[in-house]
Amino acid sequence: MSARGDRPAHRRAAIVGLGLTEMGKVYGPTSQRFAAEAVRRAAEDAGIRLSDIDGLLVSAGVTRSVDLSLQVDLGLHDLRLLTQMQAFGSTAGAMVQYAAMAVESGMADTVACVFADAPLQPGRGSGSAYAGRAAPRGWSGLLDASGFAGPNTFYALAARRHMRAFGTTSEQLGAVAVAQRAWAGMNPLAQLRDPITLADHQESRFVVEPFHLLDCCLVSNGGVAVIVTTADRAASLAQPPVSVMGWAQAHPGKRMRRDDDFGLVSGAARSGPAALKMAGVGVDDVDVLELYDCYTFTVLLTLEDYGFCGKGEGGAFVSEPGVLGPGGSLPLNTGGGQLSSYYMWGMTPLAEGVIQARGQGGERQARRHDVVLVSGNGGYLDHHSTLVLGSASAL
Amino acid sequence: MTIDPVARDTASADFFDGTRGGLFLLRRRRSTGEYLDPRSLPLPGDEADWEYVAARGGGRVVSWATVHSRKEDRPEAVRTVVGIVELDEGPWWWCRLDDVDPDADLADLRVQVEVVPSGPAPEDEMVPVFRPARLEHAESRSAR
Repeated sequence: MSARGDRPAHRRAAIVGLGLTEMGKVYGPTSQRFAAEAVRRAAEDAGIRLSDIDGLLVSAGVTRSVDLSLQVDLGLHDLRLLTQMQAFGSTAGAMVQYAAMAVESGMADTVACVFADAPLQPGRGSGSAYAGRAAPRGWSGLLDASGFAGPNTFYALAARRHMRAFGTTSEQLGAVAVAQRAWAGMNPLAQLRDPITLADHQESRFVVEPFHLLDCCLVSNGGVAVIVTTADRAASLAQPPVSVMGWAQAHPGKRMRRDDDFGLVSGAARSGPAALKMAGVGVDDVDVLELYDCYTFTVLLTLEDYGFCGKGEGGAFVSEPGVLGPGGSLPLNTGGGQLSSYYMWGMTPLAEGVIQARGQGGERQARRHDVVLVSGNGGYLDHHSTLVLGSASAL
Repeated sequence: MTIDPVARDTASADFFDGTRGGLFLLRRRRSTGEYLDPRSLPLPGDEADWEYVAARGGGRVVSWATVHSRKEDRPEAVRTVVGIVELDEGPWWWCRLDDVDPDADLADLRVQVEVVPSGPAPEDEMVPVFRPARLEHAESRSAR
């Protein structure tokens, strides 16, 4: 990918619309309806008509129940770009990357990227929201029968390895949860807003050791969409444009092999520096961090891999007083993240990144927000996407 | 120890044929001698270079986690230990760890495979679980 300065200024990609539906235990709408509503709200936010959209990228989420027929539901005709994407939790960042490439190349002018999911059902707990989907046979059946309880188990194995290798502690993971809950208290969309303490984290029940309940993300129904267009078009629209300054992906593909660094290093170690290089900025230039947080551990590992602290030093970094949380030196997951606000895969950090880059975070707004780093993580640390977003001055 | 019934599918049929005979089958490339996870598949045209071989059955724990599950008839959570085992041949295997202390440090613990029934019915497949290789483990601990 070419450096930002090599791309024609008038066609540089910008995020101009953000649409969020109601989030959380919202029953009734299907995933597809949430998706349609999110796109409608994003277009309204941008100040464009739905008919201005000529590209649509769809992410179906865990329940896989949003598809290309969304075009018809939205009444979009003669699209120049339409596809469904799947890179799990890294999909949102990847969608924006492909949308940016599409508008910068002239393939399309205005691309909507949307994610929606509705796994929660009335009367069923979050823990069972994804149950019953895995095949009880073959390789996946063998894992199920052996006791592997979905992603919680895989990430717990990763975290345990990090803890054993570097001395990372459960209390250090808890520092991430406590800080993010404090941010969530200032986010009207957050599902969980009551403050928590480190003692609350430690006393919450174990899900899969070493993870307590408060190490794990929420489960949410809802939808999020963003609109990507060119800089010249963005200038006349309703919202402060958010520059897409740099981007990258990394997909290590090494799981199950000898010497795999599972739990120690993720694709973030390649994706982060590549995206920053493309944007022409460094770690020290980053004002706000919105990191994918399916678990507290994922945040800690990504901080290390992006270079905000040394490898193995993530635990000490996140638990140092005055670093995380409102008023800290590093605005990180300022909406509460997936741990406390809502779980929309990579759209959770992306949406908050857009809000912060625009300067629309209200009482949780970071004072400086010219460079916002957004991560996505998918599979079991198998897929990573990074976006470097900039405030309107970066266009 | 309880384990839920597992059924085979086309992709796993050869592996479960092996476990019925008490074997834990790996894949190996004849040309390089490289051992691969049994789920690995050869590229089209490479099939003749791949063979099934029985693992020696030993390995060491890379990481472990303890799953807490709740049953309606039990007040306390049931704790099940699972782990990643690096087999002596090289591949990693994600599996149940039995007869281990869930509160112990299990890193680098020497383990040995045992093939056990996954359920009571004749069609329920035999599955591999790993248990401490007690003699070797004791030797490795005493050498520290």
